[in-house]
Amino acid sequence: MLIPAFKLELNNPILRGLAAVGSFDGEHPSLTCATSAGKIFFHSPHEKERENQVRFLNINRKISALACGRLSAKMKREVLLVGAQTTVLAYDVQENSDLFFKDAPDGVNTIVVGRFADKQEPLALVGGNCSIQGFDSEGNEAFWTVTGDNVSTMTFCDVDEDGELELLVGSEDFEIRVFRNEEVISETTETDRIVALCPMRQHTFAYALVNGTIGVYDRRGVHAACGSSSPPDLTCAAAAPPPPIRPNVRRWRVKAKHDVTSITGFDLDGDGEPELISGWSNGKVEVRSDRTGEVIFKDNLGSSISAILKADYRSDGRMEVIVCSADGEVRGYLPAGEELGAMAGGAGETEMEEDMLRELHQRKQELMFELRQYEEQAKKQSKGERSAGLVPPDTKLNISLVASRQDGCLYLTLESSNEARIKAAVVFGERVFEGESFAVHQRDPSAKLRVPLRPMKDVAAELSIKALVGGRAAPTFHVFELTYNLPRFAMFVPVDASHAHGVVAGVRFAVPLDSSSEAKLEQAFVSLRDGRPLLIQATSEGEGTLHVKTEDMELAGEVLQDVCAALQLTEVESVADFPQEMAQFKSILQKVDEFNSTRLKLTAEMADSSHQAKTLVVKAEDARILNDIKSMRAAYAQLYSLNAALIGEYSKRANNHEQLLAALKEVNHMIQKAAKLRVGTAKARVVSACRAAIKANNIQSLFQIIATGNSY
Amino acid sequence: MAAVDPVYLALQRFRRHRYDECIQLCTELLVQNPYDQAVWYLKCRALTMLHWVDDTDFEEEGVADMLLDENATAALPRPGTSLSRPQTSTAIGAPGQGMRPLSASGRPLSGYARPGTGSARSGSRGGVEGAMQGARAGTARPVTALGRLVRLGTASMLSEAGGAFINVDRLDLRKYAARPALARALFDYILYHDHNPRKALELASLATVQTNYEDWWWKERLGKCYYMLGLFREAEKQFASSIKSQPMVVAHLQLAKVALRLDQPNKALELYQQGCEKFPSDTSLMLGIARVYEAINDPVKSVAQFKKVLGVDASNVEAIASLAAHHFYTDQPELALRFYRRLLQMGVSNPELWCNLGLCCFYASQYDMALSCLDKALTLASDDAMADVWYNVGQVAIGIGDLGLAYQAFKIAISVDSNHAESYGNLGVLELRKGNIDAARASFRTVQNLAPHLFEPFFNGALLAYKLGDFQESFDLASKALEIFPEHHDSIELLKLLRNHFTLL
Repeated sequence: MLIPAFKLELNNPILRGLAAVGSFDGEHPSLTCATSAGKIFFHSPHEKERENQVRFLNINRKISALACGRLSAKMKREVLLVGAQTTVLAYDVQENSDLFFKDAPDGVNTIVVGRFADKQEPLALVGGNCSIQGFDSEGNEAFWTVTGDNVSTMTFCDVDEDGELELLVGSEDFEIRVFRNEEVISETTETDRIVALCPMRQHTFAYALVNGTIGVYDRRGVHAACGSSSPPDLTCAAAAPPPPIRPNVRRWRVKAKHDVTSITGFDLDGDGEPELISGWSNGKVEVRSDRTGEVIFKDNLGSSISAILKADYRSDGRMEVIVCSADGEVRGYLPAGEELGAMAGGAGETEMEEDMLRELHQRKQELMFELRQYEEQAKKQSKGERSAGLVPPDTKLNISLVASRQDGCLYLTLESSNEARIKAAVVFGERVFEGESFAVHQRDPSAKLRVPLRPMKDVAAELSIKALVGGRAAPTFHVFELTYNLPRFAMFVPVDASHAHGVVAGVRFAVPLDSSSEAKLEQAFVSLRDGRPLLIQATSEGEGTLHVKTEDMELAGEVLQDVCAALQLTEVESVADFPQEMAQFKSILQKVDEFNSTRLKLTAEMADSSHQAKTLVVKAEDARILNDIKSMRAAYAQLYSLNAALIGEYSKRANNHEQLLAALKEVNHMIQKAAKLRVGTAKARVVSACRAAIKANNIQSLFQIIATGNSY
Repeated sequence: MAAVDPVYLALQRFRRHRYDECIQLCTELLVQNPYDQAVWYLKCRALTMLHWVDDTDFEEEGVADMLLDENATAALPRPGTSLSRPQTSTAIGAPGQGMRPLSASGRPLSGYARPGTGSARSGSRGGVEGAMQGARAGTARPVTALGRLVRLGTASMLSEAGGAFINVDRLDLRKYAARPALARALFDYILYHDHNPRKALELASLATVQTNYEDWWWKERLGKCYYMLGLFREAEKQFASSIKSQPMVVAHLQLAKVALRLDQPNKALELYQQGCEKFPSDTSLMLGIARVYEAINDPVKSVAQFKKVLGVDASNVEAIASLAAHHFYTDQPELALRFYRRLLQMGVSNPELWCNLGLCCFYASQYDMALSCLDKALTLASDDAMADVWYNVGQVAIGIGDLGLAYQAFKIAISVDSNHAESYGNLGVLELRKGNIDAARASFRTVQNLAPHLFEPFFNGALLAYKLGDFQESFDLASKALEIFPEHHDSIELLKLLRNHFTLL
């Protein structure tokens, strides 16, 4: 059990994830939380009068993000940033004035404030629908880039230990991307939507997923590889040139039934190493070691945890962890010291010891049983007996991958080397299945077992397979543990080049080819998913050109990125031609225009009717005061029908908004696809040029940029 | 003599602001030739001008907006950062509540009656009844801000023979948006004559697209429509964008107005200041700054600003009147008198001015002038100012010791405006002097209900209750007086006495 240093009851609901601590007068911290009905309240412990401690702000919009921070180095006070569905408000609480109020048509899912990239001043970074927008203190857009899907969470962390903060972005396509300026320097795919990210140490960060998984990633990967915790040689790392971008290595992860709502890294037990503190939807707070993931402390609040924050809330110079629950309960925990010392030797401790003892005892029993079995077997074997159920000791399982165009999937085939039968197999692999694992069970065991694979994305994965192998009618089975590396583009099967000659769309880019060899490389593939062809051609045109021909722009981008990574090309320009996709894109852009004008009209109509509604309310009240019940009744009857009409209008508007968002997402997605067809500086340039073209409403140049990478 | 060309005549009428005659001429011409575009345009302009309202000033909030909307971001802002808490000022050197009286809605009295200064903000008088009452005697508040624009009589379609001149619902706005000159006239007609911001918005947005989002005029008008519809954030965006394309005084004024509506006076000050940098000699922006300072109860800065205005425009009525009021309440009636005389020379002649002149004369010891000025005020006054003038007559009468006259004056004031709180208060004091204790108590109670923002009736009531030995009531009332005016010395003393009594008991 963890003993809180202080408890507060704020008696107002706190919405999930919408809480922050800011010092709005430049000195004292205030806990700022979004509550129901589009309101924000903040609790300032330094206010002497009790009734002044909690104050409210009206936002009158559905609040979707909340952050506090300084938007300029000169600013002494912190600014409150509030994100609603399509707007961002920067508000100076002390002076009761807006810094800026901006439209963010891509939506606002999360806001972080900080100095990022090569910018002099801090930015408010807004993560929306496929895009990240950065605002400076005057509300100008100082940064813009695209990501794969809805941004769900962002945080700063110096993952590559170069002294500059990188932006970690978690999005709904299960990806954790690391941005340095506009450039993505690494991508990690997880198994579900990312809920939260938080930095732990310089090179490690923690993540949480929708399905209740939390875990820690390490850039260095030392600990995962050797299992020891020897500290890496820091002096050496500092002197070396910037380390190459290595893939992230996961240290540990745990999965729970409940939803994780918030995570943060903080050294709570005072050992100099941060712990991962996680809050759950059932009100549980867990503190886990960031190295091993074992639980150090636990606590339970009455309702779902809304947010976990770090701040010096009591203004005594010590950082505390502040846990807010959905009911408005707030608890603060101090790092180890007198508060934790009290619990040692308490009742909890002895209970834990007993538990541990019981567990160890059971473990001993199991081991004894196993040993006995082995002994018996050895005895039998030495006698030359062989029971029917056992498989010969030289049994091996062969794994092969067979593509089936008929079924549109891959078959992972397990085959035993002798007469042993495979009863069942459990395949465990991330991102390959809808969940994380897949089990196949045969009623009549045979020597062969097929596991169908239909990975949705082209990702390389390590499959770990557990197969139950036994004799023909054996009651006992052996478990074979095997691993198999699924290649990235496994869903494409090579076919004769003639199959793919009809494809005209595609991308071409220069690769350094050995120009002396006249041999022409040409290889066609067919996708198992939809049967669409992919053709890769290399010609000696110019210095050497590679054509990737496919109708699917995303696929072309992935192939290109893969080729470039393999050939270690850092700067690639390309020329793209996707007539089908562009035609679709054009219609989407038109739709965006239509939706926008409809929205304008609907908004005006809504405002007009709400005026009418207000008038009716006042009229009815007026009639009530005058005791004119008849007109009051009439006014309320009118109000009733107007209200129904308003609700109808609202659903229309909501529908329109949803469609607009979907269309905008498509647009951002397109920009990302276009960017993926380039590598290096060209990539960033394409993103910013596309943004400029969209802002200027210049469709012609937008298409030009997507095709050639340049606006001219 | 050959008749003048009727179109030319109509044009001349229009230029001489004789809109009714112009409209009549145009109507006749349009009957002869309904497709005469020039005449159609002229009539459209004339109708618009007839109903034109200068909407750059801050306007009264409607009942519905006041009761049902929460446009202000902060519910309990810090003192000096909001219009809703005029009493909480951080300024030093300002005359306190004891010196400067409050208007009927609980704001410090300004020298110039303008919309907004009289607006009773939420909390000063709760409930629907309080919200409906207008700031001036016998006036009511409009139901919504939009409703205010529909003036009785003038907006009625019936006055036009043969129905509405333009039936906006039937127009193809797309077609008109393509013709810039016509579109502007039509837009103003829809907005100012028809008061249909929804349709106007449609036209404006079409026209903005036509001009490639670059025309400041259309953007400013878009903002205006949004503002009328109560979509302040959208309005703010349009005004800001309009200023970006082409800085204009009117857009700055509108943008600051949005900030005021959102109850962010500091933001409004900043916006006015930005405007002043671009248009250094524009008085409307400077006046804006002065008004905001006055509204957040920072008279020192506001007076400085009014002086600046007078430096640019020596005959600005608002600045002169405000300065006069300031001097009057800072105990310099002679100076105030000079300002008011200046107003008189400029041709302003209304009961309020004469009344102020009378008071100045009185406090400057020119008793003969004082009464004749008040007399003049009385002859000019209509119902809405009558009560105030009689109240001031009563004040002067108390000053010269004619209590009988004072008593009668207050009685008349109450008979004119039964809600005149100050008259009730003074009447109560006079009754007390006469020994009618019950009548006095009743009077004080009436004022306490009528004007809960005044501290005097509470203190008077407390004192009376104390003298009558009703300590509990006295304590309650004195506490209330202190709530309103925390530095009121006499109330503090009274409370101290009461506390002593209670401890002794």
